[in-house]
Amino acid sequence: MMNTFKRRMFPLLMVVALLVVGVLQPVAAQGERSLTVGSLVELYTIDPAVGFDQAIGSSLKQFYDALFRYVGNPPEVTAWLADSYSVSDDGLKYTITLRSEAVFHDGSPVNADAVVYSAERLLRVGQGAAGLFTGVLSPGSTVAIDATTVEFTLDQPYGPFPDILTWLFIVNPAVVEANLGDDDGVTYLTDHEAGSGPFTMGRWQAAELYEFVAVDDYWRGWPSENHPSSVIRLVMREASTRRLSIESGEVDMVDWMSVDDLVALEGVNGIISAPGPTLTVYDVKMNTVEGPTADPALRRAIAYAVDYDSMQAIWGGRSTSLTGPLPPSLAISSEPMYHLDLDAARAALAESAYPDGVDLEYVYVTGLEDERRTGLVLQDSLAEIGINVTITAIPWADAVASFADPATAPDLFPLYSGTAFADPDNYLWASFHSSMAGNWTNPGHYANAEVDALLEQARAETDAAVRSDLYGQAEALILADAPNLFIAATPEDHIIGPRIPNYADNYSPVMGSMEDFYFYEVAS
Amino acid sequence: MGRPYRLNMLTFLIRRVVLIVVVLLGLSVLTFTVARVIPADPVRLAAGPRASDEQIAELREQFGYNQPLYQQYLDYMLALSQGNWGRSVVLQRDVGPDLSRYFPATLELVLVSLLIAVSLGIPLGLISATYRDRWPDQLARLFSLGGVSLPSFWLAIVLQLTLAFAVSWIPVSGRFDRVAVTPQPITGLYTIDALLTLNFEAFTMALRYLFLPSLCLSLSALATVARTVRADTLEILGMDYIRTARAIGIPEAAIILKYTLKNASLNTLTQIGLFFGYTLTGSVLVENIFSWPGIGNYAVSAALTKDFVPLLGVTLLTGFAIVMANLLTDLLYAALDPRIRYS
Repeated sequence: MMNTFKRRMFPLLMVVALLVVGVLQPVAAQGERSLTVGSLVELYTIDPAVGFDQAIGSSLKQFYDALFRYVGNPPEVTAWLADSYSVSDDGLKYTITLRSEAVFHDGSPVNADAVVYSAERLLRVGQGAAGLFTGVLSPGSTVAIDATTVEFTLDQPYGPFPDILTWLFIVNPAVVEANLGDDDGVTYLTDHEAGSGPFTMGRWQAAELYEFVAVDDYWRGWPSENHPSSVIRLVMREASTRRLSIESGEVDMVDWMSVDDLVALEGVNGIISAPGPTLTVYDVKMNTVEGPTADPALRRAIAYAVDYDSMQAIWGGRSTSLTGPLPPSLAISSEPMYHLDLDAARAALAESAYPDGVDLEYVYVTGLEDERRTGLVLQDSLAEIGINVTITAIPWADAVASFADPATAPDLFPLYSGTAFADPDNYLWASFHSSMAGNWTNPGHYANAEVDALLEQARAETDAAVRSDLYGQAEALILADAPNLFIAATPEDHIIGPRIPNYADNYSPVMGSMEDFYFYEVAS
Repeated sequence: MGRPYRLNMLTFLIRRVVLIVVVLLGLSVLTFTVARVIPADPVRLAAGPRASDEQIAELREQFGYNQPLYQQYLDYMLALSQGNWGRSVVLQRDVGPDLSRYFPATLELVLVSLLIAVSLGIPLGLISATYRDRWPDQLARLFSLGGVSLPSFWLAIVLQLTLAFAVSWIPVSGRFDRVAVTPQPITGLYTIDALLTLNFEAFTMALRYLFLPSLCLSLSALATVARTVRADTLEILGMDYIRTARAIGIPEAAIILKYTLKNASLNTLTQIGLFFGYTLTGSVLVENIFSWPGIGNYAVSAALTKDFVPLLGVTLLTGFAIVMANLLTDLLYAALDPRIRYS
């Protein structure tokens, strides 16, 4: 019986032994110059005409080239596919000569026809970065003069036009046309690339793993022979998982980390936090049309009652105070107009329709701890002048839906203004022009005809000094209206491992440039 | 004279299939209605921060969101009948391929966790019953209490911090090694696909990544199975036929394994059937922590962005899986207990 038992158990024991041995095998070593990123977000698309956020922007810069590219800190618009360019005296025509050696990944040249095709497609699809060109460039206004010369005719002069061209990524027309489908290639380009950039696509497993493989003979060459051979982007939704992964060395970079994690991990195992400061403006929007905050005097009372030092403490002192609606490196005002002054707050409140105080609702996005803490500081600050603040968390999708109608838009809502391009127009137009009222950049429905006129005049001006003066006038009006509480330029949220020693030297605080793998060296 | 067994079983199956269709139809109406009446605007979200009202309206028309609600529902069901699960407005891709990618990942996690629950829970319950009120029983009951009490997400983080951080061959997160090539896709379950293609390296790799998340997910079911087996075993051990078996000298091991276990497994089968549905829908926290690319995360993302079409797809697919699991449970009941006959 015992022999029978042993005979029956032997195969099972052998299988278990093989499993144990197999499981204990070391993990296959990744390529020596392969980098791994642990990211909160998934790349739901890499279509240049659709995707428009930090992670997708970073990915687009690896697969595609644009005429210009942001490089360095402070970010400079650098000619990339463009060899040279000229602007007509009236500021309406931009004539750009392309670099003749640029080629797509299939070897075909990046020519003027490709630029025209890409511009027209972006405007036609009308999503993502197309919004940057609204009122600036119309369909049919981009023409090929010859094989390497393209001309843009603008609807009106636009000073930062080269800046927004950093978001016009050039696609290979032949590839897109061959995969057009019935949606202008949107489905195809969701998970395929048609670019000329320094990386091409490897494995692409949605919501799990995205692989960028270096193009060794990239037409611009590589700044370092130790450039990444590949970059693997892993989706890690849990912050604790990202933290463990960077700490253990499983990944080389993580994003969307809290200040607490930045402080805890700085210097551990050679880890650094990204240098910053960012150009991301964080402010609290107030509803300027409906509810109590439609009263400008009340808004000014709130602005004088906020404990701004406590606000900075949310980021452990790593943020930079704002003096107005622009980040510090672009700021026109050197001193903040509003600072903690309870006497001024009470005086403004007395002028308002709510001298005895009022109840307000602060709404923030579920899961964003910085925004929750902002609400707590506001609640505490405003209680000093008799304003009672209730705090509500809602999903981002619900918030965006509520913005469309001023009757449903919140009294107080915190918002990060991303840096699509490093120019005052990026911030001021999106947040304060009346055409953007109800969009998620202007949830408070702010509108001021004088400010509109100044912003329209400024974006059409090509002289930098004149633009600065116009923006200064607009800023003064905006500050007087106090539509927002201007809190901070937030610190960078990336944490970098020791295998990217030159990250800080190549850091650029523009959306999509905080992970510019083309410039990185990989330490052995 | 009674109807033949096979005819009764066939009638039972037909009736259950009809009921499944009715249940899923009802589920689709309920989910569609609830999802669409909640104030939300996924089109505005998808269009981006700088989209004009015209661009948003164009996108809304492109996805049919400007149609009456009943028309949208009919269009959706018609497309579904042709195998088209619709298109996500936020992700801008078809839902069908997403479901076929994410569902097997969750199914694999759930099946392995149930396998752990059964293969450890049954012996634990038997030991607990056999050594009633002695230290093995006390220890097993303490373990069971912990299993049903501890939140799986908390346990997941603790295991990551302790085991994964300390032991190099236990990965912190993910479903497969980032460098290695995944098994050739056949079922979508990496372990099964690896075995079918005789890729034992991939098989062990998949097991390595399954270990922690499935362990976390299994504990609640394991504890419940152990408690159920203990209770049923104790009841059966007190019966006359067991007393008779002991009296005639049958070894205790044979009494437990041969005469008790099968009769004690019916309630366990019910528990497993219930836990399949519970685990399938409750895996999202564990998936989130271990970056497991399953249906849970997909559903939560769709819910947070009010992306109705993926939400519908997940609900219908999960509902289908659960009713099929219940049907399988009922059929296994009949197989295990010859006294059970359906009609």
